[in-house]
Amino acid sequence: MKSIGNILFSGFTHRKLITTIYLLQFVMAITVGLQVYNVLDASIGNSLSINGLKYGNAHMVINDLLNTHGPSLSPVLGQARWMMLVYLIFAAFIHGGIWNSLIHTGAENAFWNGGATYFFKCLGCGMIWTFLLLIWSAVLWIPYISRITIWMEQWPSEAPILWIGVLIFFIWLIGVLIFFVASCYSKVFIIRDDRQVLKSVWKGLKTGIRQTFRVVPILLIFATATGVLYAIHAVIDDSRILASTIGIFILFFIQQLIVWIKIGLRISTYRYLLHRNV
Amino acid sequence: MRIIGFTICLFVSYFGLFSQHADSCSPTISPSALSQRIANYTFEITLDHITHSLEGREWIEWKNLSSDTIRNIRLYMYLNAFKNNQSSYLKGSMMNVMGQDLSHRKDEDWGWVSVVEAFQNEKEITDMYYVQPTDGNPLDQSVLEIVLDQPILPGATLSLDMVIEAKLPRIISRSGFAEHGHHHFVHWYPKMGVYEQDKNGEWGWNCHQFLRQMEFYGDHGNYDVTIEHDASLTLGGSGCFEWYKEPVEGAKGRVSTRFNADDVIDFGWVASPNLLVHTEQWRHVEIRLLYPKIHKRLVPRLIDAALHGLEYMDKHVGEYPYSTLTILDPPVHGLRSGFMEYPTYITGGSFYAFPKGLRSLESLIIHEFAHQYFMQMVANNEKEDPWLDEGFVTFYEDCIMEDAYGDASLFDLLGYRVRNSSFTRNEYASLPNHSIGPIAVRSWDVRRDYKGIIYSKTATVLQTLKRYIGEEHFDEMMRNYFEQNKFAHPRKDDFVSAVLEEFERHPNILTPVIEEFLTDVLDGTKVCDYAVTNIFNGRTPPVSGLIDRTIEYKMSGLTSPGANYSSVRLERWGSLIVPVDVRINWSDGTVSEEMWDGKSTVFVMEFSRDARIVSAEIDPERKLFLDIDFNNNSISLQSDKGGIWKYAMRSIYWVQNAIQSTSFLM
Repeated sequence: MKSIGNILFSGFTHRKLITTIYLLQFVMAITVGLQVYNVLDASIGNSLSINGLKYGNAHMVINDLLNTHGPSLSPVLGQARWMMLVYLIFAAFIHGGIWNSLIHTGAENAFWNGGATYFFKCLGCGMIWTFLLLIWSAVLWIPYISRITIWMEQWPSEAPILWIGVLIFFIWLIGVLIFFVASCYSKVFIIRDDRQVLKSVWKGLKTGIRQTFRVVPILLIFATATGVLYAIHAVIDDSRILASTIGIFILFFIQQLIVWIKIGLRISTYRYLLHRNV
Repeated sequence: MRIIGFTICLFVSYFGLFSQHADSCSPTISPSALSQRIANYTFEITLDHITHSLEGREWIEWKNLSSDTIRNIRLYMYLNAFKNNQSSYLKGSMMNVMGQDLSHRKDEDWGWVSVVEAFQNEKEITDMYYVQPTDGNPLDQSVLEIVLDQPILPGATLSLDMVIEAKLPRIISRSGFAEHGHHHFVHWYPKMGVYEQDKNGEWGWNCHQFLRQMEFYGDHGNYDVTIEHDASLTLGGSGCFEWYKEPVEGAKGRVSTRFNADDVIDFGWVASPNLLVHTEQWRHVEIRLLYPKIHKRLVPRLIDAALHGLEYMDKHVGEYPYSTLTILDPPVHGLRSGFMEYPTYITGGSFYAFPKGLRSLESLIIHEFAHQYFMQMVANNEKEDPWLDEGFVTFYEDCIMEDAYGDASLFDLLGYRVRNSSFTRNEYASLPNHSIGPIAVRSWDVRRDYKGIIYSKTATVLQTLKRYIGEEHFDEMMRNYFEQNKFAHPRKDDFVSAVLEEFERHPNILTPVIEEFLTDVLDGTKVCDYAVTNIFNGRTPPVSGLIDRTIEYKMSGLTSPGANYSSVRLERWGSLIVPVDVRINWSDGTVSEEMWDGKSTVFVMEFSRDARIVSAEIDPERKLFLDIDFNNNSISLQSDKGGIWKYAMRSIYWVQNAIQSTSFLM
């Protein structure tokens, strides 16, 4: 138990790194948040209906807002979409920084130097893995989805259809785990061994396939910890206690703490993978 | 010896009789006829589940209650809608029904019904032909006209004896066969049209062809249906069993089932292997649920929904007089037979592992059950006045769901909660064009957004009426409407009369304009949207210059120029005029309740008080459920932005999570 605890929280020794990444993400997200605030304030900010927004989801308020002011919300959604894309590219920089900090512990400005030095290599590597994930998802899900309606009319029960879906999900998840582990090791090989992108990807894949099943329990623990955080948030977000002005800001603090912890857990995962002597 | 022999005979015949009628029942709890029993049917048919076909005899006894001598009759032959792709039904569906592409269909997958022979008083009728009274499509065979050999005099009864054949289609919509022996028989037999007076008082056949977006219309009567079928099939349908699966002599594996259904407008049934049966008793009603084994976990939910429906409608509308209610929860391969209502027989639609917080399956059962009142007992013409049943039923579906499951009646999943009435209102409020068409319109005249107008807008109108007059009086109104129109064919005017009577009996702020209101919402396309657009606190302005005549002023104790002055500007953005309440909150903590007749496009309320206006709200109790935007109903000068902050913070949190999750491979 103690060693699991050590693994789980090992990344939290890099508090400066976690905070840096957190701030970068926060800066990007707050642009969307402020837009949401402005649109809501401009459209229904003086209405008494907004009191309903404090308590869980206010279906009628939100629907009337979408019906009447839907077009003014579409730029926000557009912005969120573009921002996600920008962050995907920016994430190559962040990952270059994270891995450089973990590999060259103690080096000055390791995060920024790593991000700048390995940006393009990490970007190329990330694009390859994302492309492979898309292919993997398409290969598994498109045949299934395209058969569902036919099976529904032909099969005696829907249970097998559901369970096949569950089975495919687990197979897909194994693939995702392999890709995740392999992509991590690819970056290790790029930064630690100064390898080329394609060679790193290939070696990463081989290592990923070899290592994934050994690290699955630990990865599941990380996933569970993240799930617990989501569940805690769902309960708190739904609570009527946090509906006062102070309560809402306490909720915000908890939300941001969760985001910070999740980054810490991600770094703990990377540390764990790095220290498996591959 | 003779006495012993007689006793044995009596004993044997008694138990013979007893075993023959062991399952017999009375279809209704009334000892006398509930309806005029105009169209009565007796069937003796044989089902061949391998070829998906029926053959046998159908006897119709039909009473001529008109003052006309009738020489021709018209019969619905709705199974012929699935005979080929040239039927009006399929042409109207653009060859796609419920997501099913019909352009590549095998010949054996089409279905039909035909009258092989017909006899009137044992004399064969030879003159019969298909007619197309609704759209003139010569290839449509959904209405058959028979020229009678002997006319039916006013008050006389027609006796028609027919040999019929029917072949089920692979299910396109509700009626048909599916894989694994599932057979669903609805609108499967030649059925009498309705001979009635039109709006001008002229008698004639109301027997429309089967078009897409169209439902059904028939007279009440009794059904006596005997079906010979394979023993492996489980049967269920309208009415009750006179006997169930009695062995057929000399035919191994064949059994006979006999249904009786009294005072109903139609008869639907299912024959399917592998269905389990669960029965539950509610007062005089036996609920019989047919379901596939895989749905066992859903049985309590389905039964619970039916019980809530029975309880609520009994309390708020009227008695359910039938002794049975059969529910089919179809297997997945027979799902196209679901989502529909037939007399004392309804079909749902559910899936294995359906989440408990997603109550659409309960909502569906309740919706279809409420049809037992509106379309079955109160048998409006579903084709010409679809709003009179679908809209009413949607309204009651919402009422029952909220009564049974509370505020989160429809969805209560992962913190997302939705009430039924809120969902229904939004189906109307979210229409891209609220003026797309009126409610009171023939089903085939609705161009677009059928559900939003016929179902949801009607339900929202009823919700508005209920909120204005109060639940108690609304219930009284609907009970009266039900009692006056059950086992009859009411039209719009019958409903309007019921509303006017009740609003006159219990006056409220809507009463003075109720007639105009009903005309506007039922026959018109006016939209309702009231808004508070400004609040002003200051000093009395000097009155000078020209005053716009379109602006009304309500002066409330105004004093000389320079005195304290507050005003609220109210606007009517839609064209529907409805009187509304206005609530004003003052800085000294007092609340004043005002009323606005809602007629002018702009209305300014003026006040001279020491306190300042903090907020103003039109229709604070949300009586005017038809208002398409509640958010603009109020303005507050001290609005608490906490809710907006909460949503902005939520969006930050979820964007952070999204960028973390999507970038894990980068």
